[in-house]
Amino acid sequence: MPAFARSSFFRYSGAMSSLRALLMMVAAGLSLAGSPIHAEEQYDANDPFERVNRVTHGLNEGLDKYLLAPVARGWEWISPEFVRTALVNFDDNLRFPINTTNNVLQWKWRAAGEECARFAINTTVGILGFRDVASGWGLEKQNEDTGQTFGVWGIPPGPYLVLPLFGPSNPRDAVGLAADSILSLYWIVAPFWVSLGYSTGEVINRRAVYAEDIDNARRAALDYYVFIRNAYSQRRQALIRDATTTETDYELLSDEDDLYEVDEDLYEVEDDASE
Amino acid sequence: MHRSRLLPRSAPAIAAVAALVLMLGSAAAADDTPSQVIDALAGQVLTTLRDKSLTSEQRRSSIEETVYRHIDFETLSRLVMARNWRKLSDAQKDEFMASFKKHLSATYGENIDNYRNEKVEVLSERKEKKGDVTVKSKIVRGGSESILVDYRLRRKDSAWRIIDVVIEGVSLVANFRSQFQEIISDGGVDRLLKLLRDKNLEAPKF
Repeated sequence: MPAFARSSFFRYSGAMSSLRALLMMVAAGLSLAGSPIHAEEQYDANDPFERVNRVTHGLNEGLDKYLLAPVARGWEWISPEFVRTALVNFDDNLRFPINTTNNVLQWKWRAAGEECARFAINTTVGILGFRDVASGWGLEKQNEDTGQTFGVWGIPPGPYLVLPLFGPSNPRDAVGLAADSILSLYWIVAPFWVSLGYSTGEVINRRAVYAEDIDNARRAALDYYVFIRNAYSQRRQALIRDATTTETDYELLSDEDDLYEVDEDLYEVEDDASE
Repeated sequence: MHRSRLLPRSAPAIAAVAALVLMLGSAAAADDTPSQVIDALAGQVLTTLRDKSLTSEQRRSSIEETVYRHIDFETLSRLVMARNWRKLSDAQKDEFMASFKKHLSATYGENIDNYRNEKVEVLSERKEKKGDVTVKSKIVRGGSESILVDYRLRRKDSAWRIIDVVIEGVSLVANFRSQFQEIISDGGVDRLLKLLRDKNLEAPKF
């Protein structure tokens, strides 16, 4: 299976919770000053800061290679798989306030209700969320965040940004990430350093869980930077589209979808534009 | 003793049944709907993955053969290359298709030994422009979240063949297209072909 784009991989890239607010605000400030916004997100990369982004990407990769990945390998070696899965479940369960709030903000009351039911079931029957019992009962894990809500509201993503430590993003999603960390309510429950420690542990655990996917992605890519940039924006767009489209509306969508229309002739006119 | 006799004696019967199944199989293939194509393909791949009697090498080559029979690789290559396709000479087109295929095989072949009893469910079908059809499916994994996989098929030579795979909203064609576009605009077609060659050299041999 082409695991390079497993949902988990991208959940991992956006997974690092809490205490991001400061960083995000900086990024948001940066980007508000940034460039005009392109409508076509999916196939034309909107990446005016590519040089800086590539440097940040390189730094993130270096950090991963020399720090995060080795630690995660150690953790993978000493921990049984069920423990790692349980920890992911626990952390996903803690995303309950983020998921629910964003469902409501997107006017998806049914999904909001389901998320509440999930939380109730997994926190009790699933023993504090370590087991995801609800998925087996037809209430699947949800993956909502404020960046998606902004997208559903019609706010465009803006230029691609690679954030230090946090990876692929854009102004819209970076602000969303900051909002998520407030919505997560960690800051009420735990003092800063506890939440820092928890987040670090969680990142290490997820890095171990998704190690195979990440290896696959690096192997599949010829330009890993572009691979991530494109997959990130496709994935985000799909998440937003799923929230705004019902099954039957897809007819409308396919009009803008020229991905499969490319006879060479179709692009002949703009052939030199890319050089 | 009995067993050794039984086998040769029933062998012709088995061969006859197998031939019949194969004939029925190929006769049905022409009229298969896109969903049936995906369903059958998934079934064959899963059977191979579960077959403990095969070596991983046999498994890999069998799956590779099965899968490529259902992929319209030329169309897929053209879609991936898009406006760059016509910059390629015929020889370059051949080289590109061969090494891109090799690259995909090497990348995804790696995962074949990691099979953990995943199952495939075909969910629904959707008509697209140009007569294409998207088949939506789900890979169900025990313990972790299932993965949504859409296959886009196009009818060619009276059979439906895959021209793109979209995993959790990420299209393989679009993703490779953006990579190749960037590589070509930096260093031309030669750079892309060289990158593919290098990648294939460092990849494990199957």
